[in-house]
Amino acid sequence: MNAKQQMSRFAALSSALTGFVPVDLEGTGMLPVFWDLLETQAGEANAEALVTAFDVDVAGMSEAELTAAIRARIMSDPRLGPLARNLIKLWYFGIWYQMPSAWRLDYAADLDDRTFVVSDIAYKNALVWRAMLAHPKGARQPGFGSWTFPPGQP
Amino acid sequence: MKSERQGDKNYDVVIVGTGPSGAIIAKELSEAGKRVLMLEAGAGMSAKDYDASLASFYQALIKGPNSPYPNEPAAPQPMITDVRPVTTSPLADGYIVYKGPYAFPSTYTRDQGGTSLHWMGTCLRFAPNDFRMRSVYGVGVDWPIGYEDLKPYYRMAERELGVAAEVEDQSFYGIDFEPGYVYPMHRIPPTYLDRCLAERIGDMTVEIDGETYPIWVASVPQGRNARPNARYDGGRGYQPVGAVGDPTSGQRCEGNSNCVPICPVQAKYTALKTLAKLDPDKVSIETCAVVSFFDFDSETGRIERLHYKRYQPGTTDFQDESVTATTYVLAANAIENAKIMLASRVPDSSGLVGANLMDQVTVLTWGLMPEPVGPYRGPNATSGIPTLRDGPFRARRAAVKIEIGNLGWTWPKGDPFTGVNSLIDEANLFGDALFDKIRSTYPRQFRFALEAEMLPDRSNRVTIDPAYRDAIGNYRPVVSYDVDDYTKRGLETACDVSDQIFRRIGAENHTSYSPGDPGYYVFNGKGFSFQGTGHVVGTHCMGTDPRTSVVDPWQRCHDHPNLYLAGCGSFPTLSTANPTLTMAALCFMTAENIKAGET
Repeated sequence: MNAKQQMSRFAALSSALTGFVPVDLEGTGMLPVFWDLLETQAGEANAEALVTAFDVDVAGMSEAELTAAIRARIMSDPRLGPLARNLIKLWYFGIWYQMPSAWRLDYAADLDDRTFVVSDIAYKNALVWRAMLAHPKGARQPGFGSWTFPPGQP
Repeated sequence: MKSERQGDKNYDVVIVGTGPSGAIIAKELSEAGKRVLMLEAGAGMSAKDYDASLASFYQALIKGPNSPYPNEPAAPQPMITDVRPVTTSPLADGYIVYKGPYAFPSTYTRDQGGTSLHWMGTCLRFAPNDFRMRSVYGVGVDWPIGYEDLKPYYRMAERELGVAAEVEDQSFYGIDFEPGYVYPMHRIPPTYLDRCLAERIGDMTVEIDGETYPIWVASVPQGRNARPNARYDGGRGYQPVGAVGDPTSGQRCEGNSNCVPICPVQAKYTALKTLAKLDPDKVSIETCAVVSFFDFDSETGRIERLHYKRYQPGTTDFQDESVTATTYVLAANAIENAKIMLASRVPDSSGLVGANLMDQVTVLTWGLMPEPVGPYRGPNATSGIPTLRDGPFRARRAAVKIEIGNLGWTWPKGDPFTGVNSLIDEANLFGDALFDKIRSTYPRQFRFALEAEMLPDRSNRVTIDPAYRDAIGNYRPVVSYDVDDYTKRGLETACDVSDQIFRRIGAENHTSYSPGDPGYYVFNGKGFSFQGTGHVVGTHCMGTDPRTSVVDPWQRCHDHPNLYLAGCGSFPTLSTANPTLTMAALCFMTAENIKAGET
């Protein structure tokens, strides 16, 4: 599988987990950065396992079926669940949170891990502010007087 | 290794500290021809340093008020993470030694520009009664000067800080202006939240002690660039001062929503803008220079020499230096000024050096508006509810300023990080469900800060103790701090008013306090948590009687005729106004006095 296909799988997984469409995620420029981080901080095997678990045959699945499948295969899985939640936070905040120590013991004992803001670009592309109809605090300023209008207006 | 080369130069004035107080005095005196040396404890804040500070902010996990600014080991500063419950006194693992009962809840910045680097920028004037609490209400003390005395200096301060406001919005509680006066810039546009609140509040009133008070939303004056007022200065207008080194940047607030801790475009005033106006031929600024103490003549009290330690940035390597001048000004912040005085073993005839430490005691309330209002946009605060800032109730309970916060539940809850983490980890939301939950709740968030005055109390004070020194041997401030019933009664009333407002506007009240909070207390059977506002005042109060004050109305030390203690430490009472504008006004008065006098 080539890099493009890998990014495509990662984008599909991230989209299902975050609620943002893949083109929005691509627009942040963070896809390759976050995939890299997942592999470095959590280990390649764990990262691959997460993406593979999402490689479901979604054709014909309703929203509810897909959600249920994700819950069953990923979110409630002791290995994949914590990783998936960390990935959501990575997209929403631009912060990598240190994986829980119990998880690290079981699945990534030989890796170093810590909590950190990935970069100022990751901070500025964090999705939580968009979900909130705002902008990253201290960045992407919307312009003088913009705050006097209702949220969500250009 | 001693080096006394600075002492060879002939300075008229040495100023300790490069915050707004020091910067204003340096500007006024140097323009009058005085030769000035400024000593700054921090390592400096060039344009490059400012950019580095902004980068630090983005990378900081805890984005507290001092988070962008370097913490020099030789000039440590208090951090908000130091503020915790004082379960065993003293709590001493930060910079300030907290004796309790409460950890003093505010921080300040020890770097070029001082705390103006991270201040919010609110520039309220005091109301006339704020200067005469004893005469009018029988509590606290009177200032030796009043609102009328300060009016011309308020205008100077509003020019220097670049204040945006409309006179019509600010004329209450006896605050008046000279005919035809306008602020340099038009008021910052209110946020949509401010407008929704005002509309829903309508003609609401509340009753306190049998008297009726209207609730109303008023814009707050801000030291932040906006549209210049063409009528300012007799029609000469006003040119906003932009970023230092890049004047076209920061000409208007652009809505970074990051006033605290750092404005990315420098639309907000910081003392760096005043420092940038100084003539380097007249004013020398020495950074990495931490003042330890001064020598004085025991007969006359005159300061003879100022001792400081000059360190290598990032290290604790230092050399002892000293300097002499005709006049000395300590403008290092209320706590640091007191610390230097005490370290110098001054006679302190009033016994009040370091005493009467005050900060507005702040209780937060927060909730969800019925409709989206779009928080997390605009300056941190653009409006407030002045209803409780003055009135007959002040004889029995503290006045309270209600500040409307534009950043949702950031302050009370650490949102959006805390809340969204909880949605992911505990509510088990992901994908569309997570997005929808955020989209349907966060845009409705709002908060009030109920900021209560304190009365001066000598037991709230800064002291020093040889057991507590920093890495280069300077004293650390040792602080005792408590909140009295006068303030708690004021906050009780304010919380009640807040509840009534929430009911009137139809908001969901999400306020809650935890016994684990550093500022938790129980009053009349109800639990509250207080925090600080970063308004550190009172430690060298002014007055005309040397037995009951440390400085005179021009901030000149009664005991030391050639020493001025400039800054909020000179305030005899706190009021509910943010102190910076009044502080700046006092410093213009002080500069005038130094210019005129023979000290």
